[in-house]
Amino acid sequence: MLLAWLAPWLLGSGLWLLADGRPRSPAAWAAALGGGWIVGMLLTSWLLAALAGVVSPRGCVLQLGPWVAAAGALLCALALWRRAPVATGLQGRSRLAPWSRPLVALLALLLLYHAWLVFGEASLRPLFAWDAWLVWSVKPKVWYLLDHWVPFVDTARWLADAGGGAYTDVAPFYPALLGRLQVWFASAAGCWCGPSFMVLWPSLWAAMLLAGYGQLRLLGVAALPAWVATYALGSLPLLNTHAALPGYADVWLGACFALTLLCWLHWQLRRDWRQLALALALGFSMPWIKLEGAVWLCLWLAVLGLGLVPARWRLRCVLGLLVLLAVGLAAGGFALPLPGLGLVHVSLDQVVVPEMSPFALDWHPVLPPLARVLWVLPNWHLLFYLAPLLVAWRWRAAWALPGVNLLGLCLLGGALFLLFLFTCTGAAVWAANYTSSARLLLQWAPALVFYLALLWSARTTQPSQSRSMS
Amino acid sequence: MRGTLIRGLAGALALGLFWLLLLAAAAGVGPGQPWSPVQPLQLEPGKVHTVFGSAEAAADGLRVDALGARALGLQTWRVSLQAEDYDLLHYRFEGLPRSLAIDLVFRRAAQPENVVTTTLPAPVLGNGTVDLQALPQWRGRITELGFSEYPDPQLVPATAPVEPFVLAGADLEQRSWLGALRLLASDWLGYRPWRQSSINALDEQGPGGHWPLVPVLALGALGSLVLLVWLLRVPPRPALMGVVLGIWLLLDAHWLLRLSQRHGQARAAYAGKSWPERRQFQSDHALVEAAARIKHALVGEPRDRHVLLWADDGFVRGRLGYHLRPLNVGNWTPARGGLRRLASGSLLVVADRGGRWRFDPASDILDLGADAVRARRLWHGGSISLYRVERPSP
Repeated sequence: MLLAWLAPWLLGSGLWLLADGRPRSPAAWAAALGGGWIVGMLLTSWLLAALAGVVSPRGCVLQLGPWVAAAGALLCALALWRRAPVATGLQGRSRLAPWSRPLVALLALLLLYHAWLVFGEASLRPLFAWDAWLVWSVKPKVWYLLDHWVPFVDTARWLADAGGGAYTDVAPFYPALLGRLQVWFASAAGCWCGPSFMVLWPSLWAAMLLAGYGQLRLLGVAALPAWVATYALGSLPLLNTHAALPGYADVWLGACFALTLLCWLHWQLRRDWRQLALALALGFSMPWIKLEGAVWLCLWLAVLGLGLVPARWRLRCVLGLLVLLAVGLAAGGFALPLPGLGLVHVSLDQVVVPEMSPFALDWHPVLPPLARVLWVLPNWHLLFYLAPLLVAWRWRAAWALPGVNLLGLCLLGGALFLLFLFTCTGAAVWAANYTSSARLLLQWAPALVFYLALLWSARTTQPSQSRSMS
Repeated sequence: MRGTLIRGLAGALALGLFWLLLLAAAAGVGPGQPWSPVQPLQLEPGKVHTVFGSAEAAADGLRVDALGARALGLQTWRVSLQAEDYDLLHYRFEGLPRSLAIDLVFRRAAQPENVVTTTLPAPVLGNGTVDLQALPQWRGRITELGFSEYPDPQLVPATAPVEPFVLAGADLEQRSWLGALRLLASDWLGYRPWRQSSINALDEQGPGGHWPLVPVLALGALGSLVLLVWLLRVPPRPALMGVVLGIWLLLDAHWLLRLSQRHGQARAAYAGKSWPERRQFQSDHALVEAAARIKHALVGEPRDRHVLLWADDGFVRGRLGYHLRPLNVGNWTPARGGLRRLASGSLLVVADRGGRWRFDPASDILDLGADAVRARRLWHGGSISLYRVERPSP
């Protein structure tokens, strides 16, 4: 079991350290260990997919683990001993003031208590959440117990193919990235027992907090706002729920989206291509975690492209894109190739995504349940009360701060996408019955928390960013 | 100096008054209501009838030692009262296990053959309150009223052992400040177990017209901020930071209470148990058992042999499908005549709570309405059966 945990962590942290240079501060260590854990898990799953013909589900940790661990150790050694430290010019320029230390200690203690509860819950309670046993754990259970990576097909093909060796479930086209990770940990435990893989979810929660804190500090956010943002994120009830009741992919998508944006922001400010490589790795993993990841990836790619355009041309680019969109729709529709989703056809009356039922476009009056999810139900504490207030308070920074303004644009695009999805398509049903709206927001909320921390800390961040852009 | 002190005192008083009024508004009480109920009706545990389960009188109430038939405990009082005279029910339990759900049960004179049930929030420190007027059926003359307890169907198996607990009594009350604040405490602080829907959104508002916690505290933050800046002359930035952080911490303390209560249930149910024992100790224990029996019945079949699964309940279909894996299971919804078109030798698992399927062991005919085939029943337990289709019926 130790090998199953350490090998991906070493690999991911090694890669992260190579990208970011030898850590020179606790924040850099936090970013490398947290981000490295996430990157390592994603890479391990990719390796399992690539080597499916060579490694077996039951033996994968023993067959692949030592190699992964050795590669990770080598990368770590290279990063720590062979590379010159990279100057982290934006790294936190303020230490904690004496008055804030007891507050930070309290926040750290509260986070530890959250961790105690979510780890305890995930390791004790058998698989509970609905889609966990209906969708996300079916393929890995079959793979592990059969000790064979059997293919999954839709029910019609399965029925027509008796004896063909194919299997089926309710969502055979869903990505299997998380499923392969479950197999990895079941392989380490030597049984299909829940706790062996269910603690992945609270571990992701902890890794996201570590990485987020580290990246914020490295972006120049002062220690106190970085601590408060980390605590705020770690205490969100719906995020805790997804860590405590494992099995859903939304929290993985949320972590990847947030870290993609933070790594990209590093690149945007420092032009450090290695951070861009991390952002690309995390970003392109998203469609293979869950299909909605394609939308988050495309949003980010659009903002990435916009960031490459000189600032004075950006507004015109956005307007040009909107005009193109309008012309395309007026001409009867257009097709967009989206990674992970295929060729998506968009017209005025419907959106057609391959493998899914067409989304007919029509207005659905679901704003009251959406508002209830944001401001009434106890999912987010005060997050959605504070977000508009903070953006309004810091509107100058939100508009003008290099990089952060593009990050805001990306989040605005995400919010508009969710609003469009729930008010203009058949997905309105999921908003009306509260089955999906909060979960989709969870994919976007961690990035929002980090964005708000950047805005809050804008006064200290701005000068060094301006220098780096000059 | 003196002016600062007076301003400080006035500010603190104003803050206290603001929060009191806010809580009162949230609880739905007005200035015209009495502090405590005027004519409460006390339901004494000594006069309760134990309908299901075994119970005996104890010093502090009725001690319920065991649930009865169908894993249900039921205690009722024979009463004769007008529903409109009472707005709130205040109930007291001691030692109620977190694995049990409780319902309010009452019978109306207008429909003596029916009983009305509604799930109650678990007591906070032994006390719970529910708004009766929020229940549409709480109308007319009530002839019987009581509580039923049963293993929470989403958390533990019906066969889960139950620790003894005490029903310490109940009061029917008119609206009052005290009752409304109790109602608020019951709704905001009472234990609410995980639901299958918890993963989608934490919707934890109980019945009643009171306000939910988050908007109340958000409003409280706004009011506190205004008072701090205006009356106490606190600079806006630290006031904002302090208020926001304070309210966030308050909300988090509330959430941590909920989370620790839920984790307490998990610890009580699963701590110290091995993984196989925990797997058995789930709410769908019967499905786990059925899946194990079906797998046993199919030992020797080719590994990738198709097993068609039909179930008339989405939860059963999903959970049974999961437990049956790694069998090559697929959901199957027969079109008209689809049963007849199944190839000979097809394996079919039917989980039929509604009784749509019929099997005649004498003739080996498996019948789904107008559709029928000859089949052999390989295993049967409760509403779940495993068949092997022999050939279409003549």
